[in-house]
Amino acid sequence: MRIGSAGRVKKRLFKFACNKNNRMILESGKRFGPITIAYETYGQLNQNKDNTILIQHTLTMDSHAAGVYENGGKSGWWDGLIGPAKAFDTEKYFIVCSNIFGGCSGSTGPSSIDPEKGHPYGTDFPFFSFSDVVKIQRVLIRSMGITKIFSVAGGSMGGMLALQWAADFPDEIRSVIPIASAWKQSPMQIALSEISRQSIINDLKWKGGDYYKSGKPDNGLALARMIGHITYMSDASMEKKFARNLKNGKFNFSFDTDFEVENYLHYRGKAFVDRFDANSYLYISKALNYFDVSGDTLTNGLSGEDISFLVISFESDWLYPARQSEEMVRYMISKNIDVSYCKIESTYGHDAFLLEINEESKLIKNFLERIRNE
Amino acid sequence: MNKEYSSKKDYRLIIDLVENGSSILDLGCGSGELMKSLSDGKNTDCTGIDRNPEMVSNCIVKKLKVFNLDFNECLDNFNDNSYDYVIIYNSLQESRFPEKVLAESLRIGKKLIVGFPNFGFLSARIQLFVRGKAPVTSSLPDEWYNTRNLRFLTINDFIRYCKKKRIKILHSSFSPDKFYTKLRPNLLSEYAIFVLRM
Repeated sequence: MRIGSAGRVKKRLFKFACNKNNRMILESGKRFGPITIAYETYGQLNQNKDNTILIQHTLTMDSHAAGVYENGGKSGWWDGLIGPAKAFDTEKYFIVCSNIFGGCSGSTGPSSIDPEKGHPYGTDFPFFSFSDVVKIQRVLIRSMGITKIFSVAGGSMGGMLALQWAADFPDEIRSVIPIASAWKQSPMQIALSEISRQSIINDLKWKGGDYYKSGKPDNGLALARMIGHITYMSDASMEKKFARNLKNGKFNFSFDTDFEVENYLHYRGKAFVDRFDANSYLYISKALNYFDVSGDTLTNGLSGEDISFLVISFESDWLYPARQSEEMVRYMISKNIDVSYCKIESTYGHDAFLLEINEESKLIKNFLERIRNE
Repeated sequence: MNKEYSSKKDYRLIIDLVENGSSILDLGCGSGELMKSLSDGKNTDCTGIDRNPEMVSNCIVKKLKVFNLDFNECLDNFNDNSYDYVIIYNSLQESRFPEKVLAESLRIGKKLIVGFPNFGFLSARIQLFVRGKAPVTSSLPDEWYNTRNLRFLTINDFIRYCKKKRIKILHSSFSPDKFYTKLRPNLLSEYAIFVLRM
């Protein structure tokens, strides 16, 4: 079988909770609807409807995990892992990736129009948790007639959503693959999120979240993205990529960008504000900080369930250090849960989960095959 | 981990020692060769521990369960009697805390299988005594400057240790598998495999 692309793919929309009497009840107690979820699928759902793999995206990504759209554009963010004969083999599995609730790439979020008021929700949007995100994804999955998911996988925040599935619906999934992830947010992760949030909130253009007419808080959002990008790299990968290279070959003796690394961060920040909504960033990062399925929250439901884990971490990842994955794995061991764990050697830092495709492929492909043959 | 030394024969020995369908935890499992042989030969349910990511990756390719952890530091997470056998094949001599590892393994496994190279082997003694050099044998293949071995024990050392700790030796085999190794194992055998129970 030749390794190929998932091919031409299409973003679809799923709408529900449209009537006053079937609203979604969120963890905060708020009732909310209507809800639209943007999603993509690759491969075919089999007759038994038992070959579904749910792919979870990170804070700033979307449903476009693989292939290319009709009108071209970039291939999906995990294209190296999803496609014919790839780790998530579209010849064998039915792959689903949906933009999370609260996002801004087709799913209902703070930038969506509140049908009752006729303008974007802004900060009227309800606060939500990953349990809500997962519960909403489940409605989409159920609408396809799928009652048991073969695997839930994702990197970074995606890994946490995968773990949330295991905590909330252990009997509806067969396996979980959390990559460069953690089972709870550490104080350092919460602190970094708060700095990113404050950079948006302190942009005068944020205006309490009501900026859709007056102009977006681009500077604040770009700054949040710059902070983010530093945490995605490692000391070694930054040294390799930028060293002390100068943008113009000499010092400017001004506060303009001198170094390549500064230039890179500015470029990343600028590119980000064109595709991401500041309020979505705030809400999702808050939900991220609320995330905690550590200890028995995760394992209580698992005892007796036929569920297998493949946990992957990366040596140089300091945003989600291997220590956190190991803590979870050790706890799982003490609860006799079927888990395999690998810490991949990489200098890419947190970004490694998007870059160490060969090594990840080997692990994921064989793990999934083992589960399939059991 | 060097498992070059006629390890296939040892694998055969270990396969014969374990019961069909048993659960096994392999400490320092390397690329999973032994676990694969056990799974194929005795339909066992094997889990390995190795701190080398490349080895762990090889295990996963072999469809084995594995933890990329350091067995010197993670055994306290395992429950009492949670495996039929714990196997420490060719990795005890590399352990930083062999005493702790042995005690934990006897707690975790209903039985413990330990295999290690014999430092008291005749050729090793001659090299040390006559030639005055650190021994290199087929079961101790590395030089002093590149060996991963931290512990240099003999068969007698190990038997004495078991007595002291009241560990029951259920079975022992020595290689090469010749009549004379059974007579003077500490002098004449290169490698020893013990089955133990607390």
